[in-house]
Amino acid sequence: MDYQHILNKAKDKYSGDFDYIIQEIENCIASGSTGGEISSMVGKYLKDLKIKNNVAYLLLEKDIQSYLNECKKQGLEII
Amino acid sequence: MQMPGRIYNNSSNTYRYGFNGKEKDGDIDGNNYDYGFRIYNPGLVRFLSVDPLQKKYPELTPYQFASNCPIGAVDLDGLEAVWYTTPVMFSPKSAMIGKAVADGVKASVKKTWSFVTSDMWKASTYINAEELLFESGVSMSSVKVSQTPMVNAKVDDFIKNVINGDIYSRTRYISEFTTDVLTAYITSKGLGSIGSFANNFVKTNFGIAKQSLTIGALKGAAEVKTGATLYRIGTQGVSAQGEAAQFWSLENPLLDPEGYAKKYNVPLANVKNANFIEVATLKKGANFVTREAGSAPGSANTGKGIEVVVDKAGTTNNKITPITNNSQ
Repeated sequence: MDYQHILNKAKDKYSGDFDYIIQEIENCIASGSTGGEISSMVGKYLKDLKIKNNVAYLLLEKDIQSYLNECKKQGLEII
Repeated sequence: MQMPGRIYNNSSNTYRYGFNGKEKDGDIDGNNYDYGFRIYNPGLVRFLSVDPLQKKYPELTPYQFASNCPIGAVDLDGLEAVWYTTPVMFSPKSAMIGKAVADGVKASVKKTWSFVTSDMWKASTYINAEELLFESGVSMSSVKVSQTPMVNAKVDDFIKNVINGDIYSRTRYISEFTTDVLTAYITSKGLGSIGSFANNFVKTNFGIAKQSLTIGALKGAAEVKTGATLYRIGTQGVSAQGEAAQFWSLENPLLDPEGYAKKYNVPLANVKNANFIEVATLKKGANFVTREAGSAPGSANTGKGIEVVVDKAGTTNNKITPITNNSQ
């Protein structure tokens, strides 16, 4: 799962209630200069949702975990 | 040829020493030599009495001189032969062992050379001796299922050469094995610094980025170390710049925006809409890693572009240039 897939998942789950999260993810994607930078920024933002917006995080928890695991496999460990 | 004026005349027979520097013994027929423990007769080419050490050498006649090897050895005192050259050259059995050792070393060197030169960078990805040993085909400690046929072949080779083999094949095998192990050990020591580099990582604002061990990433690391230009593009006020920027590419995104977007796994819009480009080089002594940008399975992006992740403030000679009309 790459950042584009997690964005699509977020659009499915968050449209209407958490539009700003979708916008924030798109901002992360738009500001990156390399794939690794984008993946890291998106991963960090999603991981921090657990604290900043736990309801939103739980809605997408499995997909977020899957995304973070994929990042780790590629040598990017999100903390 | 005799030198003028330099003549030796022993007509008075006063000089007492002869063959091997031994003293002549005239007690019997005037043509024997006293070797200390026994009397030697050069006419018979034998000692006149049995060897006091005959029980130690059952394969030799007790009357022999210098173990029957008068070209390579002398008999020091009537007991044992003393070799003036290595016996390898004179004993058929020893010569075979010597050749086996030499052939084994040659085979090992040839194999190692072939391995190293086949892909020099591949060798640099081997972190420890065990992996290199395995690649050389001698280690069985790191066996993986997919590599079983290779191990079976080695076992068959061992049975054929060592268990069922003759002295030549046995010695040759051991010689080759020993040289393999020594070569692998020395090589692994030499690759130690690269090994530690392979375990490198950089702490970023988002977590940790680890060094990739692909050939492309390692080549990229070599380029960075030798001062390659680093690039990044972005949007003023949104994208990181200067000391805050940690993710860089080794290619200029503006030269081929479509190609860059695919290789570095970024949306094409990021390149088209960028309003600045920054170039820099690695700061001396700064920590960094190189990795493939990565892509999702099935994605049109190859993700094979090599990105460079540096420590915060890990770049120098930073130059930011605004981009105008980039999307046109």
